[in-house]
Amino acid sequence: MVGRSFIREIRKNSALFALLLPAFVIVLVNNYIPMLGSFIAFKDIKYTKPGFIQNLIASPWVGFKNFEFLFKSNAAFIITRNTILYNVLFMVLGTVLAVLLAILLNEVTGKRKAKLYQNLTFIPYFISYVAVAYLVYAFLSFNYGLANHGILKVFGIAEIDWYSSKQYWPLILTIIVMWKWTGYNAVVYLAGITGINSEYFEAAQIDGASKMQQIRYITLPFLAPFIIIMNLLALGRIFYSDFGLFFQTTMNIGALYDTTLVIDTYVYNSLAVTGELGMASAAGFYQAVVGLVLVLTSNFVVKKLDRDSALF
Amino acid sequence: MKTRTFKKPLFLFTAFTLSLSLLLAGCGNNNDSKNADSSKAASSQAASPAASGSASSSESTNAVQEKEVHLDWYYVGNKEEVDNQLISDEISKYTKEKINATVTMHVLDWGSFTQKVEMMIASGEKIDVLSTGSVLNFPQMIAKGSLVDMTDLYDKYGKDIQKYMPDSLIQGAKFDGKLYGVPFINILGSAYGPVVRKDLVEKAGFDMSTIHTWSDMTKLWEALKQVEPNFTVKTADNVDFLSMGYQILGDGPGYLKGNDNLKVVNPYEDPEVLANLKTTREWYKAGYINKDAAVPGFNHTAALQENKLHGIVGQAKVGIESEMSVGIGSKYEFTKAVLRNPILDTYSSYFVSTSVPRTAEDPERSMMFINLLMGDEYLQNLTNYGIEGRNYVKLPDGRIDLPPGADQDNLTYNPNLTWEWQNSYIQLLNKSYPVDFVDQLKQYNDSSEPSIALGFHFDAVPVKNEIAACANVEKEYALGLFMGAIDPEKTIPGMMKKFKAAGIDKIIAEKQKQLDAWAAVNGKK
Amino acid sequence: MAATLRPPGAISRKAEFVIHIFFVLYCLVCILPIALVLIISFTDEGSIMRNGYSFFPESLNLNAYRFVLSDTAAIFRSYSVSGIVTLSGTLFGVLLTAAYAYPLSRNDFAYRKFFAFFIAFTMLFNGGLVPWYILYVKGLVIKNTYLALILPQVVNGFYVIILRTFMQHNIPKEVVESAKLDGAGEFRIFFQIALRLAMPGLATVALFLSLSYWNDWYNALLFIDQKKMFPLQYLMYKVNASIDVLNTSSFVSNTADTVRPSESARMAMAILGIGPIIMIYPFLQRYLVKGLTVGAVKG
Repeated sequence: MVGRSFIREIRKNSALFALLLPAFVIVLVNNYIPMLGSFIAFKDIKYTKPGFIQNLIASPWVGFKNFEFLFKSNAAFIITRNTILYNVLFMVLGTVLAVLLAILLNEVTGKRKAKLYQNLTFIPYFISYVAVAYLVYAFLSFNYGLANHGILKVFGIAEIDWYSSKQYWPLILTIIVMWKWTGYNAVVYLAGITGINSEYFEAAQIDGASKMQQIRYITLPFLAPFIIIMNLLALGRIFYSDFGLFFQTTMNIGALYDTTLVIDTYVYNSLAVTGELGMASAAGFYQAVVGLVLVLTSNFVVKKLDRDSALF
Repeated sequence: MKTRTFKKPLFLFTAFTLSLSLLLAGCGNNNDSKNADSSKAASSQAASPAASGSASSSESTNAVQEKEVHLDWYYVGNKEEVDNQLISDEISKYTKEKINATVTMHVLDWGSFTQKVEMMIASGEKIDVLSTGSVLNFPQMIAKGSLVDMTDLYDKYGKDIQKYMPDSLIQGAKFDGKLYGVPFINILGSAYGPVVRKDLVEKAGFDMSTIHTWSDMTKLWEALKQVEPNFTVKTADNVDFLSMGYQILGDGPGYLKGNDNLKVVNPYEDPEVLANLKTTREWYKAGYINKDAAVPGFNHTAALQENKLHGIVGQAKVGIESEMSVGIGSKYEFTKAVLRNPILDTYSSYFVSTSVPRTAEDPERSMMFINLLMGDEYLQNLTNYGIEGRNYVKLPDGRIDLPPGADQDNLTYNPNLTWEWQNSYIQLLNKSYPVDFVDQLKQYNDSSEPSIALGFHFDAVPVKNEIAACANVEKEYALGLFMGAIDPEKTIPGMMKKFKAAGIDKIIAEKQKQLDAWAAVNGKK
Repeated sequence: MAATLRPPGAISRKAEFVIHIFFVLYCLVCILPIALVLIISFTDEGSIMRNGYSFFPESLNLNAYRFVLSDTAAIFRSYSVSGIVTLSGTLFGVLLTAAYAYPLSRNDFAYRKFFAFFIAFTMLFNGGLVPWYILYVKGLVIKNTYLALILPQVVNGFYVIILRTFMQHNIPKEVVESAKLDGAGEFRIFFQIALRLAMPGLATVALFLSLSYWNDWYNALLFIDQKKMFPLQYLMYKVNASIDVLNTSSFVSNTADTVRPSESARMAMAILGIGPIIMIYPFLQRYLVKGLTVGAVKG
């Protein structure tokens, strides 16, 4: 019965299916087939047979043994707390700043100036975290850094040993992330704003709506679906963190771990010692499952509030 | 209605995925079974008694090998050299004649070496010869079955290497009596201690032979600070345990103290270590320790050259003074003191090895190539320095130098990997080394003491979760403690709490258990 | 007359002035660090060691570039590899993304929820590196091909969802309906109406795709062994890795006669990596702005 309705739909919308098909096949091959291998996370992989698939089947099941290192020791609390807090902070602050920037960019009247501003604010995105790390080092190095020598010394404040003072790093990392990503994220919102039918604004002006009112009642509601989607997706990745940020810019310095260690860097450090395929897969599996649950839940909530903005 | 339309496609899609994946699995199998056949053939060949008996193995094997084999040789290096292809061709010319095999060199960079090798082996890609030891997770690769048991191959086809191989080294490198990698022939274990600027030591009139313990270094720093107001030194990290007289005992926490007992201990609980760390803390406060050195990626070479850093506490093996001096363009000379004499422990015996992975096409031929690589003077130097005349020239005293007109920037073959498949007894010496370096090396190796636990291999699998968890605790504190940046008395109790939560006791107990079992079998007390 | 040049509904001059001040300051924050990278890349290594990083270095030289560019032919080859991958990847990527996003944006397409979930799921869950690697190497056998560099990023769930949302809001149902009544087929509606109306969205996706192709080095690390196939970012990554080793290797080199530039070389590489895209970006961005404006005017 259901099969028949599916076939009917294919017949009815054959052209739409044809449009979907190429990308569908690519995603199927590229993303879904490898998922079948993800039960490596529950295996102790051994190379006794010639092929990988035979090895995977022949290797003994170990249940959740590969996951244990994630929850051993009291580090589990710190890394979970850090990962979630940073991601929430970056999500909220990042959205506010990017939307603000997009709105401001849209208000700049000179075409050429607007273009110039957009170009320049986009630039930080291009700088790799390796280079960012050295820039940060240029500011914070104890002996040479601009922060100690250019600023603190001038005001007669005692120099700070930044790389062993963990209390400053939440702020430092937030500044870096906002600097690097705001221009980039604003592009999506700007596309959303310029997509708004200008008649709405014209009508609002005729009715005497102020700029603020226009933003409040036209721009933001139109951006809402973009904002929700961008954040829903970010929510799904809340258990992943920007590895480059937490690894490169902190230089993976142990003394800062209290405020900088996140799940990804924890896993990296652990595996640098043991180098286990099964454990690496276990960590990825754990992050994915938690992310999936979060997204499904919040998508459910969004759906209740506003049907059209839901992801699926 | 909504849910129904959802489920059916999901089912269809799953079925589709499954059938597709089976298809792919099928073609994967085909490729793999081909590999399997060839390796089976190779091992049965290995099992059949080969005609040997003449003096030089390379000649004897020549007759046996009728089918030409191509060998893919993977090693870790700094970068791809311009002449790599040329050198590969030169090697092939030689090996074609000697063992009827051609060779391609594949250099993988440090950052991705472990990951690439692991995936290549997992997927069954062909690797015939591979650098292992500390550059990969050697014990784990053995446990997973990634490497071929080379014991018989080495006995049969390793004749040229055997001429130089110290017995203690090859015995120590064996895992349960089986050989999985040919160790490099250089130092037998490392010595540890401070290496500092010679001119400053002379100016201060300090006698380096008065330094025997960690705390002895205080007076050295004081003396050097007198003659160089900007004096700073870099301490390592937990390598400093070795300077304090400990021995590594496989992965994870748990060391041996001294070389006369088999008790596994945690050095952080040792009052002597605490005293040493307190001393280090005083050094830090007095400004002897370089504060920027805490940042990984700290360019100590440039700092040494620019007179910003004046010494390093760490490895003090034979020739370290020349190495450091050469590293900074011979701007300054160095001198050293030894806190711990060289001990040949299990780790040092395998830490640079060359192995045959399970994905090798013909393990016999791989071993024959390793034999030439490390046992044949021509091939050892061809792979290390390139072609004479083109990539290096010989000086009258037998040492080598860059060819005329060449400098660092236009060298076409300068891999700087002399340690990786090294045989120091046949390797040519760079002009920066003393002419009698080989004699010095022999002397050093004679002074090296085999570890009481030499040959013991810790199987980390039962406690791998604990080791992974402890790694993060160690990383959080070790550097700060060994630099003196944090107060050991205040820090260590908190750190120990974290170590305990991460399961350090379980690791140490497991190590002790395995070590006792090993000692019982091997008749140690 | 001058006053009437201002578009109707523009903000007051005072507010505009404040906005300009804000942007000037913000842009400075964005570009000063780049300027610092550029200056460091020309700074003498010894002077970095003595004085640290500085906007006004003691002495300048080209050593870093000499070191990084020691193999010029390789660099040019890598630029062309990156160029080919970026162009073809972006082109195919935009087409595939749009073709997948369009049906999802149509309310009369019954299975849109399923297909949206199908694509969104890939952003949240993956099979891990090893199975994926083996699929590429043993299943598809595309090691050392351009396909191995293009395929991994060509359809990205994030861009599909963004574009779907954009299309939902900017392709009015009535337009599609009336086109259908006029006898236009679905393909014609897609290519001639939907794509045009979705221009700003397409431009955004094209921008993101081209950047992620240009900046990708990881797929090359996995799938490319042959030097002639190295994209630029991977070549940079390799030089970077070799600098790290020169700094931290415990096996101190025994033939090195000079200290190689390391801090400045890193920065030189950053400049070489971002240079071309910063040059191309304004053009890309002009297209983007055009796309955006078309979208705005059409409404």
